[in-house]
Amino acid sequence: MMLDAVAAEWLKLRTVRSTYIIAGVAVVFAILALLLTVQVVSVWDGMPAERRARVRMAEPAILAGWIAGLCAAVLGAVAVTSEYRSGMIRTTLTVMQRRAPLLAAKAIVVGGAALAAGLMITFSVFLGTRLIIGDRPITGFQTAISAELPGIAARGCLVGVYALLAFGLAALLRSTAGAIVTVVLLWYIVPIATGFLPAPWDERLSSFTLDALPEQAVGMDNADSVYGAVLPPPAAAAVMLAYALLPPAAAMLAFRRRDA
Amino acid sequence: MDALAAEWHKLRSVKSTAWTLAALAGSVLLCFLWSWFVARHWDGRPPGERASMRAAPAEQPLVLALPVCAAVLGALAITSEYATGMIRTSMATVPARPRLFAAKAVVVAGVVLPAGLASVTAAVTVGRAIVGGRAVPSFAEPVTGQVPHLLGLAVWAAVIALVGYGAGAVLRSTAGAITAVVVLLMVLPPLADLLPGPWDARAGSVLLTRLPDQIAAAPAAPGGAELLSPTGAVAVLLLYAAVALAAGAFSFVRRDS
Repeated sequence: MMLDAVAAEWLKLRTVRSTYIIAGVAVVFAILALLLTVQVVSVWDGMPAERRARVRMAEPAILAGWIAGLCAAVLGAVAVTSEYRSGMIRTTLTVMQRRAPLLAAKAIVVGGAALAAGLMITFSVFLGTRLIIGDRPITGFQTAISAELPGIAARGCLVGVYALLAFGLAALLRSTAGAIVTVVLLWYIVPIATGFLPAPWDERLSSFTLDALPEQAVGMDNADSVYGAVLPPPAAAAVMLAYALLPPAAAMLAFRRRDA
Repeated sequence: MDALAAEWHKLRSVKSTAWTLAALAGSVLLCFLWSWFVARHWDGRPPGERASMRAAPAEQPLVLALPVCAAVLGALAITSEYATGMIRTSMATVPARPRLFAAKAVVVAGVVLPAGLASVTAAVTVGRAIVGGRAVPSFAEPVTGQVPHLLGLAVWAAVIALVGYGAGAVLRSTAGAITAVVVLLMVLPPLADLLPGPWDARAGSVLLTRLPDQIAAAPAAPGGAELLSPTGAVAVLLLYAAVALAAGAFSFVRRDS
């Protein structure tokens, strides 16, 4: 029963055009992040040694993962709202009358697909960046690859968190615009807004924003970023899980009680 | 004229407009809260450190929320009709498509411009009243001295609404249109900053989010990297609206519904 529901949701997800457009946008930005690395490296090669030491570059894998998070949010939101928009949710509910397994199947498919895509994007951009840089001693890119892997894996997981968060919000709000705007608020506007607060509140509150969590969850700091890092790793992992699971859980309660 | 009246009737009677304006009103309340917080923070500092205190201006929460609200309102003005299929009824009623498209654009801009102006003016006026006589630089300028800044923000919001509207007409999808504007507003600036100099500053100066400060910055804004003159920034801003409207109109007039 559950397996059939998951299979049906997977069939839906992989046959609608929006899935491929969203995946395409995430991949294009990942390639763009790699092209920026190529650009920085070629500028670096033409520099005298004393200027080379001052070159600073943001980790392209984090940038690609950040944009993949937004794409995953759109994917998660559209997975629910498109059925409400077309009215097919009524057909779905006729076929699959038990609502809790239905929503769970959707969450598994959307969360799983986003998680897999997120891990693929963050890891390929991370490894691609290291390949492009090679043995050039650029600041911040001389660490051992194995030391960075946990952080990159956590970044990939965050993409899945974004998908489930948006999925839960969309099931609650039943509005594409409402769900996407709420995630954009958490993804971009809240981290900037916390930056305006005076210390120590900027660091405390920004530690709880979504993009501050992956590094904290694996015990790294958020140096050179707007994000704080006051949470111990288990707490950061718990907050990440809460972002992923609480909205779908709330949606489950509402979905079981509301009319389609 | 009838088309305008019809579009106005639609926009003011749908629930999403009320929600969007409620979000805007909520952001104005956040501006008041922020001003109150700045005042309290000032009071809590020893007098010697007060002179060096820097705080974002009263309208800062709105500067973050206003573009999103504007883009959503503009996008939904057209994508919601594609979502429900009512666009076909609209086109049957007003067969002259350029007129229909223009009527929607006028109504969208006509709502966002005054709503934006009223909200930023309220935020700055009340913010100044809350902070009162405390010498916080970003709250020091009287409202009358900030008219260009406030007008700039309102026009900026209206242009973003039209960009959302144009994107909605081209993409015919709420998710697509909102995401496109979000990419324009939030993803491109950090990408532009990654470009090697001097291209980072050049590309950054023409980005939508960087235009208001180049038109008329808030008092005591850090400033620094302005490359465009105020007139130049206004021209770039209007170019955004023109390109979005042209693309939207072309797609709306030429394609099947």
